Amino acid sequence: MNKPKNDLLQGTLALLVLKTLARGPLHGYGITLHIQLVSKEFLRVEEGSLYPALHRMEQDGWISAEWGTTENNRRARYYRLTSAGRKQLAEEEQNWERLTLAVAQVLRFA
Amino acid sequence: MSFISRLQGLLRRERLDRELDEELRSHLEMRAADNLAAGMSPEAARIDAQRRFGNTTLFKQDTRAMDIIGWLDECARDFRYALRMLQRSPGFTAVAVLTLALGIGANTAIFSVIEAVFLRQLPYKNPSKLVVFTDAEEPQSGGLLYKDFQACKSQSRSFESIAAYYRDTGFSRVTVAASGEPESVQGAFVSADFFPTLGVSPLFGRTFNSEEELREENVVILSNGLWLRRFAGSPEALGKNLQIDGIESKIIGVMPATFQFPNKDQQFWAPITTNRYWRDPALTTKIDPRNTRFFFGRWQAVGRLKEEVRFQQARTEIDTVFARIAESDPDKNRGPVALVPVAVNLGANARLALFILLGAVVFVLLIACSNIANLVLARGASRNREMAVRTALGARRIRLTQQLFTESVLLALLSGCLGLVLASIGVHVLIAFGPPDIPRLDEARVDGRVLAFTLGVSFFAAIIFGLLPAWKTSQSDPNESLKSGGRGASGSPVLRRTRNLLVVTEFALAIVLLTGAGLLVRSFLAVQAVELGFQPERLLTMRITMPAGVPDTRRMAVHDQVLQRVAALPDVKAVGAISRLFELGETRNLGLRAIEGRFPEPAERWTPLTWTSISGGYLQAMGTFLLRGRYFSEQDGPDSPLVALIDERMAQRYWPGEDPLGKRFKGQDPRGRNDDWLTVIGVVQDMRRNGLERQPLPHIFEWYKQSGGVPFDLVVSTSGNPRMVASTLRSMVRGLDQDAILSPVTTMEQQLSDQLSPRRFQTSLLGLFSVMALLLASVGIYALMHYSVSQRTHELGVRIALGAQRRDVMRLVMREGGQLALAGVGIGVAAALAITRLMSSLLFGVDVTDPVTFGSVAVLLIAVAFLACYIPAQKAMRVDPMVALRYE
Repeated sequence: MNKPKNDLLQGTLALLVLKTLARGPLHGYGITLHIQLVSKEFLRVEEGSLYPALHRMEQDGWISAEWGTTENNRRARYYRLTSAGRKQLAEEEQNWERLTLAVAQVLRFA
Repeated sequence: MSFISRLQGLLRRERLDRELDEELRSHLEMRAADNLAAGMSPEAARIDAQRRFGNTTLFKQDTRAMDIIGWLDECARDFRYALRMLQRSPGFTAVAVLTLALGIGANTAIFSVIEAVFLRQLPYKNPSKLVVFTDAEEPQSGGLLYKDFQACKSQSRSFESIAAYYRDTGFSRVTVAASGEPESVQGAFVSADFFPTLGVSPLFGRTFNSEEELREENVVILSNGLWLRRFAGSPEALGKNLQIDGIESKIIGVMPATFQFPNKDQQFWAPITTNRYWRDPALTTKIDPRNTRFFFGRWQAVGRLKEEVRFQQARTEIDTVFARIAESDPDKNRGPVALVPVAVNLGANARLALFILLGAVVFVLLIACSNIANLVLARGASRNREMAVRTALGARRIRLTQQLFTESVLLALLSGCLGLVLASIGVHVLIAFGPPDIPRLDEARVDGRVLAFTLGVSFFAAIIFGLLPAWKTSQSDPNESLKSGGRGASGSPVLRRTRNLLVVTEFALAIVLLTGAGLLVRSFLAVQAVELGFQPERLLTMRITMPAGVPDTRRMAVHDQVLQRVAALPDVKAVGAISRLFELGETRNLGLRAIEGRFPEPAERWTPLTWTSISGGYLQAMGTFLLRGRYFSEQDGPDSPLVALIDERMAQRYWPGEDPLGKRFKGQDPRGRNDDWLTVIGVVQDMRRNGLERQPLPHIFEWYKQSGGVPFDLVVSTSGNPRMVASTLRSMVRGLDQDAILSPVTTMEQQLSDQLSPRRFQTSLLGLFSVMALLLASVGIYALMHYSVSQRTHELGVRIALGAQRRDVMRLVMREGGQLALAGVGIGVAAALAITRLMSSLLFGVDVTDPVTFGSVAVLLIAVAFLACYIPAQKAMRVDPMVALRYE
């Protein structure tokens, strides 16, 4: 197994997924593709952690799921952001910005 | 996701798994398709897609865990909260848990009995394939002709095997002796294929084979009970001897305690050919026309159906087989043969009684539930503010319902635990006081199935008393509650109506139970008041049995000596004996063979009747009045003219409107040297020797010296304390004959009381449950009225301040309670009229619509309701308007 290029920071996976879903409903595979594409292949989402995270977020009520068909006429489980999820996303985005800002400041200072 | 749908989700885990599998498959397929497009070989594309998932099982476990964690979190939160809420109101919790535990405990106890008696698998191999051949008219003691059994065996195709057995029906028990005193027990004589047919094997040792049966070898297999009793459960019993009717029989095996076929009190099984009646031509194949079915009805058979044969098919086949037999060999000794599945051999009344009791405890539980529902509603009303605040803060209604419901579930589970404790005590009490006519009752215990039942009942209770109040409470409008500051909480008319409805239901249920119990109590009193035809007070009874093979001359000598010596004891007024103390079995239609000066009576006109031999002063000791003629005397010897006493019914039956004295007749068997006539010398009172609840049988009494049989059921009437005589009686008889088998000495009153034990069991249990129902219902109405008054303190205060008389206030409250009680009583009486009809066969001497019972139960409940409302009404009357209004 390839060593992942980049271990996602604890908690960032949820942020990335929520952000991805903010564009519209998507299935699990689509989410991995999207994150990989947008991060220019830099971030790679492990399937092994994506699905537990999706189901957990579903339990938390941030996202909801339903069965749908892909453009290639395949059955897939589509996830959609709920209003609670939207709130959560806003919060996590803020947190992330604060975190990166803080880290950047530390780096600049040192 | 709501609580319920999560629960369903958990239960439908398989479906969830399937969904997850499908989700992953679609992911894999999409990845593989893209890989393919990117130029990989199909094989590599698939492997790459798979590889990215790593360990699939682990991965699936992780994903699934996430589904459950969320639910568990929520549950745990609710349970912690519920626990805190219950702790905060210990009074409420204690009352609710106790009430419910009583209901659940009663249900569990009765269910344990029903489970042991009806539901538990019989201890045979594949018991659903076992059927019993019996007589359709006498299913308990009847049977079939031995030649028919053989014909059946060879002609029918439905059975894997058929085995015959002879069950002693009670009046000619066999005697067993090993070490210690001989005793009289029930045994079964069975054919060699009996054990294989039932598919049972001995606890240890072996059963016998068909060669041993053919060789008439005296071997015996002990019941577990006999083994424990006579051999102290020692494995060395094997190879020892047991005397059966004086014949040494070698012990070859011991059966497990669960094996009780054909009857509960079976003590041993021996080859059918070693039965002392085996060589009796009347019992096997030859026909003696003078004998009736009476003697033939003892062979029973048990068959195992072939795997593919259904019960109905077998029944049809047996019908045709017997039609064929009847055509080729008409035999009037043959009864209609019936095929019945081997189920629990339970009398219809015992079965009905058990199910009525189950119904009764369900009613008690329902009343307990509505009581608690009311409490929860009342509490819910006072928690309205809490709910309103939480709703206003954004809690979803479904979440509130879920949380309130969790409280109810917790309450029910606590009650279930306590109920289980009560039930296991209850089961012991039930076994100790249960009547002997319920088979396998002593096997009742709290086992896995009972536990599951209790859990189910607890949840059922939680749903009944929890869901409705939870929903109603969470539905209250936050605006209203917040505005009114919590004061007008009881004002919600929906809530109020619900609570009233619950109390009305309680009353209706209680009425039904009390009416049923009342009818049973009245029946019990009626049975106790029947005219017995004899005086049971200060009467002692003892059965003396002589082992088989003892010659009649010695029997007679022992009998005469016993009578003589007992009569000489101090405080003995009269002593005599009869061939059977009671005739409690099935009755048969019989007739006289000849009546002087009349045509013989056709068999179609026969009715039940009985004749017995008596000796000494039997009738005098029993205190039965001689209405005409004379008693037997010592002058009525074997060589003097044959004489008989009859009772009034017999006189009515054969000589209506005539003087029966001096009339002559012939009974079933020839008497005297020359089939002489018997002359009626006296008429006595009718006696209920055949059970307290049946019409007395017509009797013919014969004098033992003329009938040839030696009667050995002793009755002794005493003038002082019968216990004093009892202690000397037994040792005195024992001193006269070492081989005689003596029953314990009992009083006649005890014998009669034993006959009533099934009825006493039913009556006292239903009585107990109905009293519980009554108490719960009265607590229910009391609590409701009390609550209603406390909620309306303000309103009542205003009324009083505006000039309402205190009397009026009290009347207001009383009227409110009275209306509820009346409505409940009305509905209850109507329901009772419909439901008590089911128990008509349990009643004696009282109509199912008995106005006395219905009237007194209604009056009782109204009185109780009046009392229960009186205290809150008093409180309402004393409301101080100043205090009440200060709350403004």
